[in-house]
Amino acid sequence: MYIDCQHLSIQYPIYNAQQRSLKRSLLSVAGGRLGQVGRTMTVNALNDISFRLDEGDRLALLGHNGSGKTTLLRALAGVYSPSAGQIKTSGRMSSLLDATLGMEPELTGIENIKLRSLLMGIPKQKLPSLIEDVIAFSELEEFISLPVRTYSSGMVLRLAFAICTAQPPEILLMDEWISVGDALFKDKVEHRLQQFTQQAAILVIATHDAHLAARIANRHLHLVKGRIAS
Amino acid sequence: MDSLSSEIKHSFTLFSLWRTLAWNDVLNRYRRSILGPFWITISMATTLLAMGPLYGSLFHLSLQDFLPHLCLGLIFWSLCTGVINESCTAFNDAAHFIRQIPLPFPLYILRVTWRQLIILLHNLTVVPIVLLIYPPDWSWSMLLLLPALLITLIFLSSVGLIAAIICTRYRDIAPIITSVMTLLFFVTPIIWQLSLLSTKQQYFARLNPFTHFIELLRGTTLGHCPALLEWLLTALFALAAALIAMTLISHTRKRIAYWI
Repeated sequence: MYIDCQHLSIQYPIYNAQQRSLKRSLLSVAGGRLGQVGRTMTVNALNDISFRLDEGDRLALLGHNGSGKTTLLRALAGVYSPSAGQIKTSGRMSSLLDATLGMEPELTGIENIKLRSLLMGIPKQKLPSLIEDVIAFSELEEFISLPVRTYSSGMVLRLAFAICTAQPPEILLMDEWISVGDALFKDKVEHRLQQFTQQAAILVIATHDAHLAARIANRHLHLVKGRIAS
Repeated sequence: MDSLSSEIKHSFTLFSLWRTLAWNDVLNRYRRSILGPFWITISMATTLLAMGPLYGSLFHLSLQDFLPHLCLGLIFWSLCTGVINESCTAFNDAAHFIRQIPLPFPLYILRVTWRQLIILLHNLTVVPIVLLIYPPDWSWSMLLLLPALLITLIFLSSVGLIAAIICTRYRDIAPIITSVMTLLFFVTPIIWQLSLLSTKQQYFARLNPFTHFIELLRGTTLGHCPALLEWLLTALFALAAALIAMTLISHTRKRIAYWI
Protein backbone atom coordinates (compact mmCIF):
# COMPACT_ATOMS: atom_id res chain seq x y z
CA MET A 1 0.00 0.00 0.00
CA TYR A 2 1.16 3.53 -0.74
CA ILE A 3 0.12 7.08 -1.46
CA ASP A 4 1.94 8.76 -4.28
CA CYS A 5 1.20 12.40 -4.84
CA GLN A 6 2.95 14.10 -7.75
CA HIS A 7 2.80 17.84 -8.49
CA LEU A 8 -0.73 18.02 -7.17
CA SER A 9 -2.53 21.30 -7.68
CA ILE A 10 -6.12 22.03 -6.86
CA GLN A 11 -8.00 25.02 -8.08
CA TYR A 12 -11.24 25.62 -6.40
CA PRO A 13 -14.01 27.51 -8.18
CA ILE A 14 -15.78 30.04 -5.97
CA TYR A 15 -19.32 30.77 -6.93
CA ASN A 16 -21.36 33.46 -5.36
CA ALA A 17 -25.10 33.60 -5.77
CA GLN A 18 -24.85 35.80 -8.83
CA GLN A 19 -22.18 33.93 -10.67
CA ARG A 20 -23.81 30.62 -10.11
CA SER A 21 -27.07 31.59 -11.75
CA LEU A 22 -27.99 30.49 -15.21
CA LYS A 23 -28.63 34.07 -16.22
CA ARG A 24 -24.96 34.89 -15.67
CA SER A 25 -23.85 31.99 -17.80
CA LEU A 26 -26.23 32.82 -20.58
CA LEU A 27 -25.12 36.42 -20.52
CA SER A 28 -21.47 35.49 -20.54
CA VAL A 29 -22.01 33.07 -23.40
CA ALA A 30 -23.81 35.83 -25.22
CA GLY A 31 -20.67 37.89 -24.74
CA GLY A 32 -20.65 41.68 -24.54
CA ARG A 33 -20.07 43.84 -21.55
CA LEU A 34 -20.99 41.32 -18.85
CA GLY A 35 -18.42 38.78 -20.03
CA GLN A 36 -15.86 39.94 -17.53
CA VAL A 37 -18.22 39.67 -14.58
CA GLY A 38 -19.32 36.20 -15.58
CA ARG A 39 -15.86 34.71 -15.23
CA THR A 40 -15.59 32.40 -12.27
CA MET A 41 -13.20 33.27 -9.48
CA THR A 42 -10.89 30.48 -8.46
CA VAL A 43 -8.77 29.86 -5.41
CA ASN A 44 -5.51 28.02 -5.77
CA ALA A 45 -5.98 25.80 -2.75
CA LEU A 46 -2.99 23.56 -3.40
CA ASN A 47 0.09 24.21 -5.51
CA ASP A 48 2.57 21.65 -6.74
CA ILE A 49 2.42 19.24 -3.80
CA SER A 50 4.61 16.15 -4.13
CA PHE A 51 5.25 13.43 -1.57
CA ARG A 52 5.19 9.69 -1.27
CA LEU A 53 4.07 7.59 1.71
CA ASP A 54 4.74 3.90 2.10
CA GLU A 55 3.69 1.23 4.57
CA GLY A 56 3.95 2.36 8.17
CA ASP A 57 4.27 6.05 7.35
CA ARG A 58 2.44 8.49 9.59
CA LEU A 59 2.19 11.92 8.05
CA ALA A 60 1.16 14.99 10.01
CA LEU A 61 -0.22 17.86 7.95
CA LEU A 62 0.54 21.10 9.74
CA GLY A 63 -0.50 24.61 8.86
CA HIS A 64 -2.81 27.47 9.72
CA ASN A 65 -6.50 27.60 9.02
CA GLY A 66 -7.01 27.80 5.29
CA SER A 67 -3.56 26.51 4.43
CA GLY A 68 -5.03 23.63 2.43
CA LYS A 69 -4.90 20.73 4.92
CA THR A 70 -8.51 19.67 4.52
CA THR A 71 -8.41 20.16 0.75
CA LEU A 72 -5.36 17.89 0.59
CA LEU A 73 -7.13 15.25 2.69
CA ARG A 74 -10.16 15.41 0.43
CA ALA A 75 -7.97 15.09 -2.62
CA LEU A 76 -6.26 12.05 -1.10
CA ALA A 77 -9.68 10.58 -0.30
CA GLY A 78 -10.60 10.90 -3.98
CA VAL A 79 -13.34 13.45 -3.40
CA TYR A 80 -11.64 16.32 -5.22
CA SER A 81 -9.99 15.43 -8.48
CA PRO A 82 -6.70 17.20 -9.17
CA SER A 83 -6.63 20.25 -11.42
CA ALA A 84 -3.06 19.30 -12.26
CA GLY A 85 -0.68 16.53 -11.26
CA GLN A 86 -1.86 13.17 -9.97
CA ILE A 87 -2.48 11.07 -6.91
CA LYS A 88 -2.05 7.32 -6.88
CA THR A 89 -3.16 5.33 -3.88
CA SER A 90 -3.33 1.66 -3.14
CA GLY A 91 -4.97 0.22 -0.03
CA ARG A 92 -8.37 0.18 1.63
CA MET A 93 -9.05 3.72 2.70
CA SER A 94 -11.10 5.10 5.53
CA SER A 95 -11.59 8.80 5.99
CA LEU A 96 -12.62 10.75 9.05
CA LEU A 97 -12.91 14.17 7.56
CA ASP A 98 -16.19 15.20 9.10
CA ALA A 99 -17.28 13.68 12.37
CA THR A 100 -20.94 13.66 11.40
CA LEU A 101 -20.45 11.52 8.28
CA GLY A 102 -23.46 9.34 7.78
CA MET A 103 -24.67 10.02 11.31
CA GLU A 104 -28.39 10.35 11.17
CA PRO A 105 -29.38 12.27 14.29
CA GLU A 106 -32.71 10.49 14.58
CA LEU A 107 -31.17 7.01 14.37
CA THR A 108 -29.77 5.25 17.40
CA GLY A 109 -26.07 4.58 17.86
CA ILE A 110 -26.51 0.94 16.79
CA GLU A 111 -28.47 1.90 13.67
CA ASN A 112 -25.76 4.42 12.82
CA ILE A 113 -23.10 1.75 13.16
CA LYS A 114 -25.01 -0.37 10.66
CA LEU A 115 -25.44 2.53 8.24
CA ARG A 116 -21.81 3.48 8.39
CA SER A 117 -20.64 -0.07 7.93
CA LEU A 118 -22.68 -0.12 4.72
CA LEU A 119 -20.96 3.08 3.62
CA MET A 120 -17.58 1.54 4.26
CA GLY A 121 -18.55 -1.66 2.50
CA ILE A 122 -18.08 -3.92 5.52
CA PRO A 123 -19.59 -7.38 4.95
CA LYS A 124 -22.67 -8.31 6.96
CA GLN A 125 -21.06 -11.28 8.72
CA LYS A 126 -18.57 -8.97 10.41
CA LEU A 127 -21.28 -6.68 11.75
CA PRO A 128 -21.94 -8.31 15.17
CA SER A 129 -18.28 -8.30 16.18
CA LEU A 130 -17.91 -4.78 14.82
CA ILE A 131 -20.83 -3.55 16.91
CA GLU A 132 -19.31 -5.12 20.03
CA ASP A 133 -15.97 -3.53 19.34
CA VAL A 134 -17.52 -0.12 18.75
CA ILE A 135 -19.56 -0.26 21.95
CA ALA A 136 -16.50 -1.28 23.97
CA PHE A 137 -14.21 1.35 22.49
CA SER A 138 -16.65 4.26 22.49
CA GLU A 139 -17.77 3.58 26.10
CA LEU A 140 -21.22 4.81 25.20
CA GLU A 141 -22.86 1.95 27.12
CA GLU A 142 -26.63 2.32 27.25
CA PHE A 143 -26.50 5.48 25.12
CA ILE A 144 -25.77 3.27 22.12
CA SER A 145 -29.48 2.46 21.82
CA LEU A 146 -30.57 6.12 22.05
CA PRO A 147 -30.90 8.48 19.08
CA VAL A 148 -27.63 10.19 18.20
CA ARG A 149 -29.28 13.62 18.54
CA THR A 150 -29.21 13.08 22.32
CA TYR A 151 -25.40 12.73 22.28
CA SER A 152 -22.89 15.40 23.20
CA SER A 153 -20.44 16.35 20.44
CA GLY A 154 -17.73 14.39 22.24
CA MET A 155 -19.92 11.29 22.24
CA VAL A 156 -20.64 11.60 18.50
CA LEU A 157 -16.90 11.87 17.95
CA ARG A 158 -16.17 8.75 19.97
CA LEU A 159 -18.77 6.82 18.06
CA ALA A 160 -17.47 7.99 14.68
CA PHE A 161 -13.85 7.23 15.52
CA ALA A 162 -14.75 3.83 16.97
CA ILE A 163 -16.71 2.85 13.85
CA CYS A 164 -14.10 4.06 11.36
CA THR A 165 -11.27 2.26 13.06
CA ALA A 166 -13.03 -0.92 14.22
CA GLN A 167 -12.14 -2.52 10.90
CA PRO A 168 -8.53 -1.39 10.66
CA PRO A 169 -8.20 0.40 7.31
CA GLU A 170 -4.94 0.31 5.39
CA ILE A 171 -4.99 4.04 4.88
CA LEU A 172 -6.59 6.33 7.44
CA LEU A 173 -7.21 10.00 6.70
CA MET A 174 -8.15 12.19 9.65
CA ASP A 175 -8.97 15.83 10.06
CA GLU A 176 -8.12 17.79 13.16
CA TRP A 177 -11.50 17.40 14.83
CA ILE A 178 -9.92 14.75 17.01
CA SER A 179 -9.14 17.54 19.48
CA VAL A 180 -12.82 17.69 20.44
CA GLY A 181 -12.47 14.65 22.68
CA ASP A 182 -11.56 14.79 26.36
CA ALA A 183 -8.03 13.97 27.56
CA LEU A 184 -8.79 10.35 28.44
CA PHE A 185 -10.32 9.66 25.06
CA LYS A 186 -7.45 11.37 23.28
CA ASP A 187 -5.06 8.91 24.91
CA LYS A 188 -7.18 6.04 23.72
CA VAL A 189 -7.25 7.45 20.21
CA GLU A 190 -3.49 7.90 20.15
CA HIS A 191 -3.01 4.39 21.42
CA ARG A 192 -5.22 2.95 18.71
CA LEU A 193 -3.51 5.01 16.03
CA GLN A 194 -0.15 3.70 17.16
CA GLN A 195 -1.47 0.14 17.01
CA PHE A 196 -2.47 0.78 13.47
CA THR A 197 0.78 2.00 12.22
CA GLN A 198 2.48 -0.98 13.83
CA GLN A 199 0.38 -3.01 11.43
CA ALA A 200 2.08 -1.03 8.66
CA ALA A 201 -0.96 1.08 7.86
CA ILE A 202 -0.60 4.58 6.49
CA LEU A 203 -1.94 7.48 8.51
CA VAL A 204 -2.45 11.05 7.36
CA ILE A 205 -3.63 13.44 10.03
CA ALA A 206 -4.23 17.17 9.79
CA THR A 207 -3.61 19.03 13.03
CA HIS A 208 -2.70 22.33 14.66
CA ASP A 209 -1.14 20.52 17.58
CA ALA A 210 2.62 20.29 17.07
CA HIS A 211 2.96 18.05 20.15
CA LEU A 212 0.43 15.58 18.84
CA ALA A 213 2.18 15.62 15.48
CA ALA A 214 5.53 14.95 17.14
CA ARG A 215 4.13 12.03 19.14
CA ILE A 216 2.16 10.31 16.39
CA ALA A 217 3.87 11.11 13.12
CA ASN A 218 7.20 10.19 11.59
CA ARG A 219 6.76 12.56 8.67
CA HIS A 220 5.66 16.17 8.70
CA LEU A 221 4.35 18.40 5.97
CA HIS A 222 3.96 22.13 6.60
CA LEU A 223 1.49 23.81 4.33
CA VAL A 224 1.59 27.57 3.88
CA LYS A 225 -1.01 29.00 1.52
CA GLY A 226 -1.30 25.73 -0.34
CA ARG A 227 2.41 25.14 -0.82
CA ILE A 228 4.84 22.90 0.98
CA ALA A 229 6.92 25.09 3.32
CA SER A 230 9.56 22.63 4.44
CA MET B 1 -16.62 5.68 -21.03
CA ASP B 2 -15.12 2.69 -19.28
CA SER B 3 -14.99 4.31 -15.86
CA LEU B 4 -18.53 5.56 -16.43
CA SER B 5 -19.91 2.05 -16.83
CA SER B 6 -18.01 0.97 -13.72
CA GLU B 7 -19.50 3.95 -11.86
CA ILE B 8 -23.00 2.87 -12.81
CA LYS B 9 -22.26 -0.76 -11.98
CA HIS B 10 -20.79 0.30 -8.64
CA SER B 11 -23.98 2.27 -7.87
CA PHE B 12 -26.06 -0.84 -8.29
CA THR B 13 -23.74 -3.05 -6.24
CA LEU B 14 -24.26 -0.63 -3.35
CA PHE B 15 -27.92 -1.63 -3.37
CA SER B 16 -28.17 -2.22 0.37
CA LEU B 17 -26.71 1.23 1.03
CA TRP B 18 -29.20 3.25 -1.01
CA ARG B 19 -32.05 1.03 0.10
CA THR B 20 -31.17 1.71 3.75
CA LEU B 21 -30.70 5.43 3.14
CA ALA B 22 -34.06 5.64 1.37
CA TRP B 23 -35.84 3.70 4.08
CA ASN B 24 -34.30 5.95 6.75
CA ASP B 25 -35.47 9.00 4.80
CA VAL B 26 -39.05 7.75 4.86
CA LEU B 27 -38.85 6.82 8.55
CA ASN B 28 -37.32 10.18 9.44
CA ARG B 29 -40.21 12.05 7.90
CA TYR B 30 -42.72 10.21 10.03
CA ARG B 31 -40.66 9.54 13.12
CA ARG B 32 -42.60 9.81 16.38
CA SER B 33 -45.91 9.84 14.52
CA ILE B 34 -48.19 6.93 15.35
CA LEU B 35 -49.41 6.07 11.87
CA GLY B 36 -45.99 6.69 10.35
CA PRO B 37 -45.75 6.38 6.58
CA PHE B 38 -49.43 5.46 6.40
CA TRP B 39 -50.13 9.17 6.56
CA ILE B 40 -49.16 9.04 2.88
CA THR B 41 -52.00 6.59 2.27
CA ILE B 42 -54.48 8.59 4.30
CA SER B 43 -53.74 11.87 2.57
CA MET B 44 -54.09 10.19 -0.83
CA ALA B 45 -57.42 8.65 0.22
CA THR B 46 -58.69 12.01 1.45
CA THR B 47 -57.72 13.73 -1.80
CA LEU B 48 -59.58 11.05 -3.73
CA LEU B 49 -62.70 11.32 -1.61
CA ALA B 50 -62.76 15.07 -2.06
CA MET B 51 -61.81 15.30 -5.73
CA GLY B 52 -63.56 12.18 -7.04
CA PRO B 53 -67.23 13.21 -6.71
CA LEU B 54 -66.51 16.88 -7.46
CA TYR B 55 -64.56 16.47 -10.69
CA GLY B 56 -66.60 13.43 -11.69
CA SER B 57 -69.73 15.57 -11.76
CA LEU B 58 -67.91 18.46 -13.46
CA PHE B 59 -66.84 16.13 -16.28
CA HIS B 60 -70.23 14.37 -16.29
CA LEU B 61 -68.55 11.02 -15.73
CA SER B 62 -69.80 8.16 -13.58
CA LEU B 63 -67.68 7.37 -10.55
CA GLN B 64 -67.26 3.86 -11.95
CA ASP B 65 -65.27 5.37 -14.80
CA PHE B 66 -63.80 8.37 -13.08
CA LEU B 67 -62.60 7.31 -9.65
CA PRO B 68 -60.17 4.53 -10.74
CA HIS B 69 -58.88 6.89 -13.45
CA LEU B 70 -58.28 9.73 -10.97
CA CYS B 71 -56.88 7.45 -8.27
CA LEU B 72 -54.23 5.86 -10.49
CA GLY B 73 -53.47 9.15 -12.22
CA LEU B 74 -52.76 10.91 -8.93
CA ILE B 75 -50.73 8.04 -7.50
CA PHE B 76 -48.48 7.62 -10.53
CA TRP B 77 -48.12 11.36 -10.93
CA SER B 78 -46.93 11.67 -7.36
CA LEU B 79 -44.20 9.14 -8.23
CA CYS B 80 -43.11 11.21 -11.25
CA THR B 81 -43.11 14.55 -9.52
CA GLY B 82 -41.58 13.09 -6.36
CA VAL B 83 -38.55 11.60 -8.10
CA ILE B 84 -37.85 14.65 -10.25
CA ASN B 85 -38.43 17.33 -7.62
CA GLU B 86 -36.46 15.57 -4.92
CA SER B 87 -33.59 14.74 -7.29
CA CYS B 88 -32.95 18.48 -7.60
CA THR B 89 -31.56 18.55 -4.06
CA ALA B 90 -30.20 14.99 -4.03
CA PHE B 91 -26.53 15.97 -4.16
CA ASN B 92 -26.84 18.88 -1.76
CA ASP B 93 -28.70 16.73 0.74
CA ALA B 94 -25.84 14.24 0.59
CA ALA B 95 -23.11 16.89 0.86
CA HIS B 96 -21.66 15.29 3.99
CA PHE B 97 -21.14 12.03 2.08
CA ILE B 98 -19.90 13.61 -1.13
CA ARG B 99 -17.26 15.71 0.63
CA GLN B 100 -15.82 12.69 2.37
CA ILE B 101 -16.17 9.47 0.40
CA PRO B 102 -15.98 9.15 -3.36
CA LEU B 103 -19.21 7.21 -3.93
CA PRO B 104 -20.72 6.99 -7.42
CA PHE B 105 -23.17 9.84 -8.02
CA PRO B 106 -26.04 7.81 -9.52
CA LEU B 107 -26.32 6.22 -6.08
CA TYR B 108 -27.92 9.37 -4.66
CA ILE B 109 -30.56 9.34 -7.39
CA LEU B 110 -31.27 5.67 -6.78
CA ARG B 111 -31.81 6.62 -3.14
CA VAL B 112 -34.41 9.21 -4.17
CA THR B 113 -36.07 6.78 -6.58
CA TRP B 114 -36.24 4.02 -3.99
CA ARG B 115 -37.66 6.45 -1.44
CA GLN B 116 -40.40 7.42 -3.89
CA LEU B 117 -41.04 3.77 -4.67
CA ILE B 118 -41.68 3.13 -0.97
CA ILE B 119 -44.12 6.04 -0.96
CA LEU B 120 -45.74 4.63 -4.11
CA LEU B 121 -46.27 1.28 -2.40
CA HIS B 122 -48.01 3.02 0.50
CA ASN B 123 -50.21 4.91 -1.93
CA LEU B 124 -50.99 1.77 -3.90
CA THR B 125 -52.75 0.25 -0.88
CA VAL B 126 -55.67 2.55 -1.78
CA VAL B 127 -55.98 0.95 -5.22
CA PRO B 128 -57.43 -2.48 -4.25
CA ILE B 129 -60.18 -0.72 -2.29
CA VAL B 130 -61.09 1.52 -5.23
CA LEU B 131 -60.94 -1.42 -7.63
CA LEU B 132 -63.16 -3.57 -5.40
CA ILE B 133 -65.82 -0.88 -5.30
CA TYR B 134 -65.46 0.02 -8.98
CA PRO B 135 -64.16 -3.20 -10.56
CA PRO B 136 -62.11 -2.89 -13.76
CA ASP B 137 -61.93 -5.56 -16.47
CA TRP B 138 -59.77 -8.03 -14.59
CA SER B 139 -57.21 -9.59 -16.89
CA TRP B 140 -53.72 -11.05 -16.97
CA SER B 141 -52.48 -8.02 -18.86
CA MET B 142 -52.45 -6.20 -15.51
CA LEU B 143 -49.14 -7.97 -14.90
CA LEU B 144 -47.72 -5.68 -17.57
CA LEU B 145 -47.68 -3.03 -14.85
CA LEU B 146 -44.29 -4.36 -13.80
CA PRO B 147 -42.46 -3.74 -17.09
CA ALA B 148 -44.34 -0.44 -17.40
CA LEU B 149 -43.11 0.59 -13.98
CA LEU B 150 -39.57 -0.44 -14.86
CA ILE B 151 -39.53 1.71 -18.01
CA THR B 152 -40.97 4.62 -16.03
CA LEU B 153 -38.37 4.28 -13.27
CA ILE B 154 -35.53 4.27 -15.81
CA PHE B 155 -36.96 7.42 -17.35
CA LEU B 156 -37.56 9.16 -14.03
CA SER B 157 -34.18 8.38 -12.48
CA SER B 158 -32.39 9.45 -15.67
CA VAL B 159 -34.25 12.75 -15.73
CA GLY B 160 -33.59 12.97 -11.98
CA LEU B 161 -29.84 12.56 -12.51
CA ILE B 162 -29.86 15.27 -15.19
CA ALA B 163 -31.83 17.56 -12.88
CA ALA B 164 -29.53 16.83 -9.93
CA ILE B 165 -26.38 17.72 -11.88
CA ILE B 166 -27.81 20.92 -13.34
CA CYS B 167 -29.41 22.03 -10.07
CA THR B 168 -26.17 21.54 -8.15
CA ARG B 169 -24.30 23.74 -10.59
CA TYR B 170 -27.03 26.35 -11.17
CA ARG B 171 -29.06 27.05 -8.09
CA ASP B 172 -31.96 28.75 -9.89
CA ILE B 173 -32.94 25.68 -11.85
CA ALA B 174 -34.58 23.81 -8.97
CA PRO B 175 -37.47 26.30 -8.54
CA ILE B 176 -37.93 26.30 -12.33
CA ILE B 177 -38.24 22.52 -12.35
CA THR B 178 -40.72 22.59 -9.47
CA SER B 179 -42.89 25.10 -11.32
CA VAL B 180 -42.69 23.15 -14.55
CA MET B 181 -43.78 19.99 -12.73
CA THR B 182 -46.74 21.87 -11.22
CA LEU B 183 -47.68 23.10 -14.67
CA LEU B 184 -47.33 19.62 -16.15
CA PHE B 185 -49.83 18.32 -13.60
CA PHE B 186 -52.51 20.30 -15.38
CA VAL B 187 -51.54 19.42 -18.94
CA THR B 188 -51.12 15.70 -18.25
CA PRO B 189 -54.26 13.52 -18.30
CA ILE B 190 -54.37 12.94 -14.55
CA ILE B 191 -57.71 14.49 -13.63
CA TRP B 192 -59.09 14.81 -17.15
CA GLN B 193 -59.22 12.11 -19.81
CA LEU B 194 -57.56 12.16 -23.21
CA SER B 195 -60.81 11.06 -24.85
CA LEU B 196 -62.46 14.33 -23.80
CA LEU B 197 -60.14 16.24 -26.14
CA SER B 198 -60.50 16.88 -29.86
CA THR B 199 -58.05 15.06 -32.16
CA LYS B 200 -55.93 18.16 -32.54
CA GLN B 201 -55.83 18.78 -28.80
CA GLN B 202 -54.90 15.14 -28.24
CA TYR B 203 -51.97 15.59 -30.57
CA PHE B 204 -50.62 18.41 -28.40
CA ALA B 205 -51.26 16.53 -25.18
CA ARG B 206 -49.18 13.65 -26.54
CA LEU B 207 -46.17 15.89 -27.03
CA ASN B 208 -45.81 15.77 -23.25
CA PRO B 209 -43.80 12.64 -22.34
CA PHE B 210 -45.63 12.29 -19.04
CA THR B 211 -48.91 11.78 -20.90
CA HIS B 212 -47.51 8.53 -22.27
CA PHE B 213 -46.07 7.34 -18.97
CA ILE B 214 -49.28 8.04 -17.03
CA GLU B 215 -51.41 6.43 -19.76
CA LEU B 216 -49.11 3.40 -19.83
CA LEU B 217 -49.09 2.88 -16.06
CA ARG B 218 -52.79 3.52 -15.61
CA GLY B 219 -53.77 1.52 -18.69
CA THR B 220 -51.93 -1.59 -17.52
CA THR B 221 -53.29 -1.35 -13.98
CA LEU B 222 -56.86 -1.08 -15.27
CA GLY B 223 -56.35 -4.12 -17.49
CA HIS B 224 -56.48 -2.31 -20.83
CA CYS B 225 -53.49 -3.55 -22.75
CA PRO B 226 -51.80 -0.34 -23.99
CA ALA B 227 -50.99 -0.01 -27.68
CA LEU B 228 -47.58 -1.03 -28.94
CA LEU B 229 -46.90 2.58 -29.87
CA GLU B 230 -47.27 3.59 -26.23
CA TRP B 231 -44.65 1.02 -25.18
CA LEU B 232 -42.28 2.07 -27.94
CA LEU B 233 -42.58 5.77 -27.18
CA THR B 234 -42.03 5.39 -23.44
CA ALA B 235 -39.06 3.06 -24.02
CA LEU B 236 -37.63 5.60 -26.43
CA PHE B 237 -38.05 8.44 -23.94
CA ALA B 238 -36.39 6.33 -21.24
CA LEU B 239 -33.49 5.43 -23.50
CA ALA B 240 -32.95 9.01 -24.64
CA ALA B 241 -33.04 10.32 -21.06
CA ALA B 242 -30.62 7.61 -19.92
CA LEU B 243 -28.17 8.46 -22.71
CA ILE B 244 -28.29 12.17 -21.94
CA ALA B 245 -27.86 11.47 -18.22
CA MET B 246 -24.82 9.27 -18.85
CA THR B 247 -23.18 11.78 -21.16
CA LEU B 248 -23.76 14.53 -18.64
CA ILE B 249 -22.45 12.60 -15.65
CA SER B 250 -19.34 11.45 -17.49
CA HIS B 251 -18.50 15.07 -18.25
CA THR B 252 -19.30 16.48 -14.83
CA ARG B 253 -18.60 13.86 -12.19
CA LYS B 254 -15.12 15.20 -11.47
CA ARG B 255 -16.55 18.66 -10.87
CA ILE B 256 -19.65 17.94 -8.81
CA ALA B 257 -17.80 17.76 -5.47
CA TYR B 258 -16.54 21.31 -6.12
CA TRP B 259 -20.06 22.58 -6.77
CA ILE B 260 -21.58 21.41 -3.49
